[in-house]
Amino acid sequence: MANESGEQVEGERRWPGKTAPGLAGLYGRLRIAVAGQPVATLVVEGMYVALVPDTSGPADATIMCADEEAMRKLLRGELNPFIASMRRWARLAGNRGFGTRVILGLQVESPFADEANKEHLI
Amino acid sequence: MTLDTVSILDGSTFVVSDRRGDLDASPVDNHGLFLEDTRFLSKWILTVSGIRPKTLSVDDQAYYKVQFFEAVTTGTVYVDSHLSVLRRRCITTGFEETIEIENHGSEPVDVEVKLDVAADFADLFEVKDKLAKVGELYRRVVDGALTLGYKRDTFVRETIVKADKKGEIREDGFTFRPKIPAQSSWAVTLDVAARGRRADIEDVERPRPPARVLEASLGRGLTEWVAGAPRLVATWEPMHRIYRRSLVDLAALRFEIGVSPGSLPAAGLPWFMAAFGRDSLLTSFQSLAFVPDMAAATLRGLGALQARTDDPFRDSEPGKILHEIRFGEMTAFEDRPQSPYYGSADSTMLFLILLEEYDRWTGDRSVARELEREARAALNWIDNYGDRDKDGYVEYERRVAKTGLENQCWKDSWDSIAFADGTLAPTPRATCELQGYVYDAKHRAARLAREVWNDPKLADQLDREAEELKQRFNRDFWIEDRGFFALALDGQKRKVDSLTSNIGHLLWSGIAENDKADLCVKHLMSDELFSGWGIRTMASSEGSYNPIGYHVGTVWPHDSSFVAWGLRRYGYRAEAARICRAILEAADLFDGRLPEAFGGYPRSKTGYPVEYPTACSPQAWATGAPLLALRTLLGLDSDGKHLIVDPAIPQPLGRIELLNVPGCWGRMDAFGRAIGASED
Repeated sequence: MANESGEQVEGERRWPGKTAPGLAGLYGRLRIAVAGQPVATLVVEGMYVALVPDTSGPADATIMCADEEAMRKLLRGELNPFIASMRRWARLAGNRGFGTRVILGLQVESPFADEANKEHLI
Repeated sequence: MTLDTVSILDGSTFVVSDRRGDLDASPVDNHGLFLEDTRFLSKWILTVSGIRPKTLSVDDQAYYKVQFFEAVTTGTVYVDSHLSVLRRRCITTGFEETIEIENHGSEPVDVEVKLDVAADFADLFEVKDKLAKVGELYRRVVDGALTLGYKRDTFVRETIVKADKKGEIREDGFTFRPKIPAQSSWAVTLDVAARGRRADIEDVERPRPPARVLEASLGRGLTEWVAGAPRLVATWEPMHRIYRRSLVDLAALRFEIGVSPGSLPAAGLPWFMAAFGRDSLLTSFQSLAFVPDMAAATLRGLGALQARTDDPFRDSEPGKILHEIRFGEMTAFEDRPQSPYYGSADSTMLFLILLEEYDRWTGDRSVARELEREARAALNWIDNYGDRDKDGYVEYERRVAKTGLENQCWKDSWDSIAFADGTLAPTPRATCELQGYVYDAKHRAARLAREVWNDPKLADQLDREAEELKQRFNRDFWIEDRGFFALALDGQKRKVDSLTSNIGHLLWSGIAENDKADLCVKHLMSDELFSGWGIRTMASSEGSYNPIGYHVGTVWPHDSSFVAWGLRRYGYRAEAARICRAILEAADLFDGRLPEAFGGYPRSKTGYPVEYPTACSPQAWATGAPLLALRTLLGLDSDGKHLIVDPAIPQPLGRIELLNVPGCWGRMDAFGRAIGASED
């Protein structure tokens, strides 16, 4: 599970990941929910990140997006987590430190910047 | 000194009322219940049978609770009333207030207890700058509760008020009509809940405890906080009050930013109850010898929010440490850039300075290891972004004129960087203390690279760069004919030749060559800069000098405390002691609580420091000033293994004992006493 100090936790399933330089040092799972429904999990393993449809199992934090547009912005790295929280577009529950770092980290060369423009990500 | 407002607070929640306990916000009275930079209640006025009770006394019990003792009187010369009122208020996620009315008469009495309630949901920036609302205000009474709300698009904030007694609830308040028997009392408790951006999530994750539970918890927390700090024994009696006041005010200003463990200090009440990079870092430095955990929380919190992107609106660049973060409506709608705003040219260096100081003081290597990536990004920012024109100096210039800060050094008011004749210096501005901070940050980071990050190559490079900077700086900033360092290099690389307190920060950082430091000390202790109560931000000899100008003549206690620490670094023990004594004597005259700033009038003219009109109080780094002064007087430092004690105490302060000083040595005691008159 998550470890903000950069230690990888053993036993974590490793998904085929994309390179995300802004997430270096982060390990954990960010559940994504849209309009109250869990839709995917972002698995973060240091410089690698994978978006998987699996919504079972524990997550370190959940980002609750008001709609798909907010989710797409999140993945593209266009979401300011503080503006999103103030406007209720997307808000974090659980380990907010981990969630905030992931969202801010995606602002640096997000691997989803192109794909997220597609209609259906997941 | 008696203020006309009474405040209670916890974290970013605070209530400012008049001395009756009423909130009656107006353009001149900034009363209210505030949370997340928004005013959730602007009116809360109590009348008893049509009369606003008269205040007899205010019992400011703790920073989070207060009692108002009042009488219902017609206002004649003598208070001749059979009805007294006790209002007990405690902070929660809003506040809880119990109004108790006692009938001292021999007959029963029918009273009408009325509370007028309203909320304007003003953003703190609107309160300060008197702006109008854009969205829609609403009120409703549902299920025995009054809801006051504000909606603009998806931005929704609400205040819910409930009473524990039945009465009439209207959209503008509550009315109760009790009959109070003779020699008896009646009470009602009102719960005011401010529902901010995360209220629904916190209802699930962290349900709000009842006020009495919260009050007990805050009380325990404060007791533990004070008990965890070193114990002070001093022969100069006011020192005890000043010391305790500083610790309690620091406790009051602690607040969680939610992205990292622990609490860091907010900058000040009322305008700056938010995380400010510079303020939180300097306050944590000042208080490191007393409450080191606060420094760790500050470093982790600011590290988590370090800038990742280049964003002109927010003056953000990769590696930069934030200036300020806010959560009000104007920030939410990007009328203001504080989400977060990074317009601070010194926070990034101060982050590195505190990181090394914390590591060396506590011996706790975990924070420096954990924040290695952030520290390297900060170093990268200094050279690749901070030095905008590659002239070897960090300079600043806002990138969006409408919303950015013109001055991004600690003296951040518009007129602070001026030539001796009063002319404003054009931007970009490379103020001198920024270069000192770079010098210090690089040397300190070099030690971390060598001892913690196992990177001797980086360490050597940083040490070399720091020494090259020192050489360059002493050549380019020195004003030969005036004998001190320029305040800044302006946009045309001209020396800004005002004499200011900034030269004292160069002593703190160690960038001044010894012969030049000697001359700076003479200026710092001259009548032009030393007012007798502290160091003026600008010397009285300069064209812009104004004893009540925010950064051009007032005395800022935190500024003086760092100057004193710098004097110690260069061996000026007596001069440092003189400044510390002055700050502490000023604190005594402010009932133990130093304000953000006070007038720069000479002590020979006034027996007390003159108040600055809009100063924040409590203000974090003013609260930290007596702590750093104590550290300076006792000469407390760490070599990474041992507590170094090298006291230099002026005669009137006698003997100072600081027991159980925490650090890498565990807990140790430090003692010092004045010897002879040399330090006086």
